[in-house]
Amino acid sequence: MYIPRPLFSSAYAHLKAHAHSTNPSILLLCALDTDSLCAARILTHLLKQDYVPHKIHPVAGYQELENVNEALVKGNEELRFVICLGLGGLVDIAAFLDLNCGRGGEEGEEGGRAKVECWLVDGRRPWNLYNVFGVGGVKCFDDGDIEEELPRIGFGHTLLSYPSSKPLASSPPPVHSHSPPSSPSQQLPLPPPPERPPPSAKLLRRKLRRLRAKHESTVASYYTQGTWYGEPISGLLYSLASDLGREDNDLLWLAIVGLSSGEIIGRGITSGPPRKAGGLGWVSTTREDQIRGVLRDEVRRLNPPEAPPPGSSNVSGNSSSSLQTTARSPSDTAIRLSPEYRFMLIRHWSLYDSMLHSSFLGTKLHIWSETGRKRLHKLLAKMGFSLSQCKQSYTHMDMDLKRSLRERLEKYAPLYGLEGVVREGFVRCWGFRGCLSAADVAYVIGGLLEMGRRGSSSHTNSGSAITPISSSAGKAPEALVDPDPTNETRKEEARESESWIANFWAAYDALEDIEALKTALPTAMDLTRAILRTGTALIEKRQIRLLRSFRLAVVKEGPDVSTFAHPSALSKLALWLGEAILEQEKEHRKKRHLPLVVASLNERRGVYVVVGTTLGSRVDDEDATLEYRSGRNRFGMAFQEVAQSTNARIRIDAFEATVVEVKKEDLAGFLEGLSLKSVVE
Amino acid sequence: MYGDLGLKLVQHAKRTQSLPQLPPYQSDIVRSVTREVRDLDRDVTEILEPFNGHFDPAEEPATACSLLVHHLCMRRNKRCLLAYHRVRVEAIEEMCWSGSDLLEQVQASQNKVAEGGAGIGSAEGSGASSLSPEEEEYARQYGDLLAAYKGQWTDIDLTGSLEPPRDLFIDVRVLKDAGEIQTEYGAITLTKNSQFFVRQGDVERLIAQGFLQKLN
Repeated sequence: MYIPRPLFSSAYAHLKAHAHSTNPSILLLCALDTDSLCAARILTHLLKQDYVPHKIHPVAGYQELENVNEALVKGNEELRFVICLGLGGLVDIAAFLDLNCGRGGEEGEEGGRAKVECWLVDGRRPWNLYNVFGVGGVKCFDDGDIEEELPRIGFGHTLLSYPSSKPLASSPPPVHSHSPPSSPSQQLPLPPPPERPPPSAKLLRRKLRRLRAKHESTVASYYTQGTWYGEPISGLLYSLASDLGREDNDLLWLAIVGLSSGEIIGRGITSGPPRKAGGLGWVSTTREDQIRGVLRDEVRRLNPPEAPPPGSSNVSGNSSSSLQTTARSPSDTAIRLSPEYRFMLIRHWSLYDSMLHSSFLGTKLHIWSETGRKRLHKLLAKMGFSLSQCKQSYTHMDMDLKRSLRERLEKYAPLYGLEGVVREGFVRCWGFRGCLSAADVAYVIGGLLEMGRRGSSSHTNSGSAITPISSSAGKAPEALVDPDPTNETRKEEARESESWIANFWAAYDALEDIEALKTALPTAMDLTRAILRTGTALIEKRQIRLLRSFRLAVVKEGPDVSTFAHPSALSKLALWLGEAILEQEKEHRKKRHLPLVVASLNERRGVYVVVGTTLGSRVDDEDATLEYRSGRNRFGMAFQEVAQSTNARIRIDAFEATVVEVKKEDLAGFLEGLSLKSVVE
Repeated sequence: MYGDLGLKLVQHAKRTQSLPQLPPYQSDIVRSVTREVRDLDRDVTEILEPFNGHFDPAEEPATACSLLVHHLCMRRNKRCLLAYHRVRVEAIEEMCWSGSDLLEQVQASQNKVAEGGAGIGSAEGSGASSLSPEEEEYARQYGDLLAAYKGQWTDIDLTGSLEPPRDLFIDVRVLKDAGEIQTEYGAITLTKNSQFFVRQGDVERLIAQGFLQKLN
């Protein structure tokens, strides 16, 4: 079942009415990414205002989800609602969580106890259709995709899932192959089809079969598109808040940060062309711009420009051409629109460093080579910025330079193919304690999630960067024969997820604490430095290999290996590499871009973390259908298939479908299997 | 010198006042001080022995002075001992009132020693109970007394915080698994690494015991 946007508020009212007023009967399961974090913050804000007790539990992967089910969901009579933030959309959640509350009675207790309701708020696509159209307490928050796109598929799905003469043979939903073969993920939640007396006429049966085939192919084609992302869920929850009339600057800020974080880790919203806006005449080219537009309006509405001081939120006003780095008054916590450069953390770094480490600029200028660096120096020289000025902290740069930065950058950027280096962004001040742009906050929170707090980083760092792994997928369990290593790995896994959870809380706290954000700034810088370093090394040493159907980069040595054991850090690296390769290929006038697979060694556990990315999610192709399909990542499926067809020891545990872990020794076999799959259309 | 050890004890007491927990009982110093007192006492009896109980201070001012000094030293040592123990007793009583479980702390520290291994000598000193056996007994009995006292008014929590709560509900984060706790309205399962938004009254005790961390 799904909840369309207009009904969010009534769903919330339902939640409020049925939640226990003194005991935590709501369980929030939160994935470990920035967007989910922001969403959790927004939702808890709302719940707190209503004095609804609740419980937040961060979940790192599918294995942990099962643990949560064992510990917190199964047989928990107090529980009324499970809200999954940023997880569960891809799998049949009812198979993971025991939503039939009570003592195992599936049918028997129907009347007695209320069922547990499960809300899925997830930006990952494709939706598992059992979540959307299944019976039971699963409700998906719909950003419009389901309503727009799925009715047709849903019809087919419903038909298929109803009892028929033959059990389902094909059309596997993207069941994530999870280690224990007995894992419920593979089982469909529906009761086994009872034999219905088939209509006697042969003709009818044939007709039925044809119909089935048609619907099956519809459903299958939905699943085989790959994986992609819908709207950021923090935005969805913000619209819930605004439906309730409770939006404020804090919540808006969280929504903005959630959106910005998506851009950083390359989670472009690729669920389709911009929606036809109802009433508002938005002219935007992408869905993302559209959401940006909505948020921009909200910013204007909630932060009316002060009357007397000149042009505060006036977009192209003179005063706004230099970046805002300080608040206007000690109590100034407004969000403002401000020009934003595609360099990160500029307010807290030097202009030079910020430009050097930006993935947008770095890849366009070929920063990994000596000529690339020269190109950057040349650009600065043309702009009339001396290097010594650029290398000092931005806040201490010459005022004149700061004022003219935007204008000169816009003038010279096109010479280097840097169009769009300046765009509109959001910045917020916390009195005189600091000013951060939304993208900066997203970087910092991402850094915290991946590397942990600075102080503890020195020794936990290496461990903090790795995912909890449940167990290896498919046939793995038998492969791990002797018990000792298994135990050891399990312990290591547990330690890893432990440190990730600690990172989660550090990030959770920092999200509303400007001081913590400021102290975490160096973490974010370290991460971007590591990306630049590793990326440069890989390209310089020509370690990116070209295989039959994809490119491959393996990080297994160097100072940053432990950093990239975290899948989302690795994704950032993959994004950087991807853009760099794309630039190179564009120069060679290549039309077809092979996707990129990046693997990184996790020494502690002896596994490779593998991430698959499609290149050029934002390539503007002439072909409309290609454009529509671009950015759909088909690695998720390919990984699944390889997991089934080879006997490499693989574990698919992360909620991200495009992340897998492969035993160190089995990487070659895994890649071999992968190269036979077509991940490109 | 006479009195040096007493001074040390007082310094310990002074330091204890500003420490969050009770430092280990200084049984060595206490024993030395009492031994000193006993020595002094023996000296006094030795001095008085030849007089057979007929001592006139006016006749022998030198002896009288020496007796006086001995006596003052003993009194001073006694005061030091009393002061030290009073500070500790007050700390113990306060712990009883604030509800932190003294005996549990002892156990926890003993566990730590066990984990650390017997080989480490330094762990022994810090790991053993910080209370002397007498103090433990005192704490237990005081706790019983307190419980009996509280038992008279079951509807008032005498050991509760005197500060009125600002919010009915608070955010708490679970630091260690506390299992299932029963509240007025049902059970809450406290599992590590999760965060709750619950009624303050339900969890106050657990915050005090260090299972939960209160977030502002």
